[in-house]
Amino acid sequence: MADPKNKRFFRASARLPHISMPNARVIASQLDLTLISFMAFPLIVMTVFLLAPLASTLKEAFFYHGELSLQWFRTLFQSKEYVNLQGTGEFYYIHRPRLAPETMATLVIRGKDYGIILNSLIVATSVTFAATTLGLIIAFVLARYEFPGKRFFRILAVVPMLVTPFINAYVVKKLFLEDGLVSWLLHDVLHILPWRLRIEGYAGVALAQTMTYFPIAYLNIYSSLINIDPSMEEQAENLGARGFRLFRTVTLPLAMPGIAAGATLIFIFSLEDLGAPIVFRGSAERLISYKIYNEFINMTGQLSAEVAALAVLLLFIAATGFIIIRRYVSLKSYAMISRGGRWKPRVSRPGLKGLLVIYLVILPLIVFTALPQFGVIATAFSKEWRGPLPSIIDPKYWDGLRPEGATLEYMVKVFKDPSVNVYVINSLKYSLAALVIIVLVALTASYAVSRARLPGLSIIDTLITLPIAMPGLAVAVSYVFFFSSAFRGTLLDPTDLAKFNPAALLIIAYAIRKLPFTARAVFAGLQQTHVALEEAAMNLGSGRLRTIGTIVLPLIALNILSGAMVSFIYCVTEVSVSITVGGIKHEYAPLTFYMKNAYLAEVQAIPVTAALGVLLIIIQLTVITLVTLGFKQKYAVVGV
Amino acid sequence: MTRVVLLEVTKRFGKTVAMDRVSLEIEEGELFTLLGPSGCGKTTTLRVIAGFEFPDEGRVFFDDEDVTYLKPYKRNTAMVFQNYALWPHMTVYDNIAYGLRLRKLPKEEIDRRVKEVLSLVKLEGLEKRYPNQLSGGQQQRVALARALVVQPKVLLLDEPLSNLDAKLRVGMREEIKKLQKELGITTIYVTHDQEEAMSISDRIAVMNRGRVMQVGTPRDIYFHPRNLFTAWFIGRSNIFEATVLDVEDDQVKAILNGFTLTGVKEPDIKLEPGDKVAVVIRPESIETQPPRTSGYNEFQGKVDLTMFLGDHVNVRVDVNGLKVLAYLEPDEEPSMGADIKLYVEYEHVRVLPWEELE
Ligand SMILES: Nc1ncnc2c1ncn2[C@@H]1O[C@H](COP(=O)(O)OP(=O)(O)O)[C@@H](O)[C@H]1O
Ligand SMILES: [Mg+2]
Repeated sequence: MADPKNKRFFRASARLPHISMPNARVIASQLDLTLISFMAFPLIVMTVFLLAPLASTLKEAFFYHGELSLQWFRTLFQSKEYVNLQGTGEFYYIHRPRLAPETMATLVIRGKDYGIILNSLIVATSVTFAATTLGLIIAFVLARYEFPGKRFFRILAVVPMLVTPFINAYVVKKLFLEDGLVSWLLHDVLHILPWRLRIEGYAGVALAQTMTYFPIAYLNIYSSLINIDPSMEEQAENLGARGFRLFRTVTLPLAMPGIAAGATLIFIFSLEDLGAPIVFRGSAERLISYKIYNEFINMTGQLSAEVAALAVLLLFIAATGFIIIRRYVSLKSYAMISRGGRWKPRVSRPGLKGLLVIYLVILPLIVFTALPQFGVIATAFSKEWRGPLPSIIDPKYWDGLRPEGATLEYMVKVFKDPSVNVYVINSLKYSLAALVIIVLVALTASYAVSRARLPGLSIIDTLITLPIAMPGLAVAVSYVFFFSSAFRGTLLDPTDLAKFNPAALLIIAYAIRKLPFTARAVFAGLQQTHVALEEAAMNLGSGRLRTIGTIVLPLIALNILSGAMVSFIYCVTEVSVSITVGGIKHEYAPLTFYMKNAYLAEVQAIPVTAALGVLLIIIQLTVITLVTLGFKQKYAVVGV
Repeated sequence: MTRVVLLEVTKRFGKTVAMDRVSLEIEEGELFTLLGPSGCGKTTTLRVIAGFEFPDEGRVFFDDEDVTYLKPYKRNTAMVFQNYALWPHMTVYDNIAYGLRLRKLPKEEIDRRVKEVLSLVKLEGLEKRYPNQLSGGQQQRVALARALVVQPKVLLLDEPLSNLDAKLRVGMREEIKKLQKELGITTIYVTHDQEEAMSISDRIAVMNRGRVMQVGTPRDIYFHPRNLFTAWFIGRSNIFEATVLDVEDDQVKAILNGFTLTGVKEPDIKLEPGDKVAVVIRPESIETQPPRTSGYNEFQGKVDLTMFLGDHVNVRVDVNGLKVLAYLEPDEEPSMGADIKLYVEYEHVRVLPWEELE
């Protein structure tokens, strides 16, 4: 068999059933008005709100004085600010404050500065690698071993996924200050480290992101692992393989789909993250995401073409990462051929040594990664803002755990104080409105893709999945360029400060960005529903629209709902567009914008930011619980 | 060559008893089959032998070595899983070479042995393919080759043909039997298909609900079932509940539905007058002409249903309200509702202690 053909066999990523090419006559007789509008609607929405904005950004970036040119990119790459192969600063150094006693000597880890573009690449790559490795280890232990407390481990391991923008990275930063918990543990208590420890700069950003994103890898890999037919590994054991050899030759390759899915998402999330860079600003400002954000803050009139080039570059890096990871793995991922036989995932009981590792290494690791969320909660409920740490994680202030130390003041403020809850309400309004668009597009697109037997329909499929690979900041930048020219002087024009109202732009941006989560769920629902059920209805004389209303919708209602709920939490917690485009007019800004402002404004507002974080945690927990319990869609939250 | 012995092995999964005091002796070079309905514990037995499950009670021996608790990777058995368990990320060659590489054989030797086994299972030239580029039958052969190539002490086959279509199944089972005889590897074969078991095995163990009901050659099991389950499970039978009237040596007179039948019992099975028994008659042993031997039963009935099946005719006869199934020659097909006389030798009426089935 020829090689190119081999390759095709192994592109196992979401593939549509093979569709043979019908002739024109057949195509025409299949079409009806409903089906045509179901194809047209998502196409139009995605063209206007995704492709057209992208095109206008490309035009900005690739034109120089009215001519096609790479000048803007040349400017970027020639500037030391963007690319600096030597690097400046030290990766780490020992800081000895003058006149202070030797016990104050601090090991500072911050990472060198290689310029904006390289910094972003380095951070995203190391986060992807570290978080995926961590996720793999934890997924392997939880998927393959049975031990007391495993359920608790599994819940704890996803806690870091609860999004609490800014405040969460803030707690990480505090944990790794010279008077923070980690220094205290390693230096004061355990005496492992001869100095105090401070992690900041790019190392800090990478650390905070790794702690936040590893559960994405963990969840994806976990579900890959438990879906491996146990006989695959048993057969290897039967032939004499064991231990690491068994893992390397059979388990790991078969878990590749999960590893790839996790790694891809982490790479893109890291690249577009603003939370950690804003928290570590001062020592980690030179990142693409922060640079673009900064341009928005200082935007007067219009964004510069240089920003357009930067956004295109961001997009390019994200897409390249996406393709490289998927491609590398698609060569190693395969549809399982499995027939019959009973399925009982392999689990074994670890020996004493294994148990020690689990309880003394893995458990503390998982607990540690969940600390930011607990820190956020502690901060929101602590009466006195004493010292640099929220009381629960600062050993010096453990007395803050006493009931007298607790307060509901900040939570009440979130719900009662109009100057705060207007932002909560804004966010809920925008997210619900976005949800309407999301459900409509997801439904029409998925229906068209799964039911119409037409060539070329996979374009729609690609279009509605595309936003996954698009950093939010690139969307924000392209919306500025697009809406300021196509809708000049209207309330959609972000450069017309008098007229502009960010509501519509935010709704559209949320809808486009968070669409894939719902689309996946709806598509899965449609694939599980046999077409014969619809054909039976049409056979009895029901028109297509009526069939969809009376047969399809009821059958996939749960899928729509669970997908929509997942999209909803991603909308409410959205950061990139919210704090850039959303911040242009403060009174219309969403919740995450307010959190950023409060966080940056003053120390007193940090507990309020934390209280908002708690609110977000509550929303997310509610949705996850509903989706998991109600719809049995265990990993819907990250199942892209 | 290895002799495999199971001694009183019991394996429970929670409340389910998957193996209930199973004792088996499998001789060197034998093709031994575990036969039984699904869920009766065949796979579990195989997995205990391979070391994927450890018995709650009892022992497992390979020759004189107690392997009850030996890890699977140290047993040198080779299992062919029901779903083949071909690794989708490896080529046919790599799948087959896997076990050899673990044994640290030199490259040339691996190459030679893979080539050899590929020609043995007639898959030459497919080394570079991936499993999902193969047909079901080819995948089956790769799985077999991968097991054979390591020259295992014991070959374990779990319903290896159940995923193939009917025609292929018959061809493959002939090939497996031939290969097994050529190589002389002790082989334990699991199937729920009695025809497959009959055609391929040296000996068969019939299992039900975790217990071994009977062990014997295919002929033994077919003609001399020692319990009702075996009689019922193997082939098709007329089974009637009856009461013992009289026992004389191995000849048993039993009464059912108002008439008496004479049959035979196995010498070591004790029956007393008044015992509830099962009378088992295979449809092909019923004739329309009086047999030439002296001892036979005869009864009169009305034809209830006939079905022409090519090589024979299924005839159902109503005898005093009892439905009796007989296989007759195609040219003997009676008409519906006709009166008919049937004969069956004493020798072909088997009387077994009654037991409840299902
Ligand atoms: N790992 C297991 N966990 C729980 N029950 C099992 C397991 N393996 C087998 N069983 C039960 O043991 C019985 C025998 O199963 P099995 O050996 O697979 O039967 P067979 O292969 O004959 O169909 C069945 O009732 C099955 O449900
Ligand atoms: Mg089985």
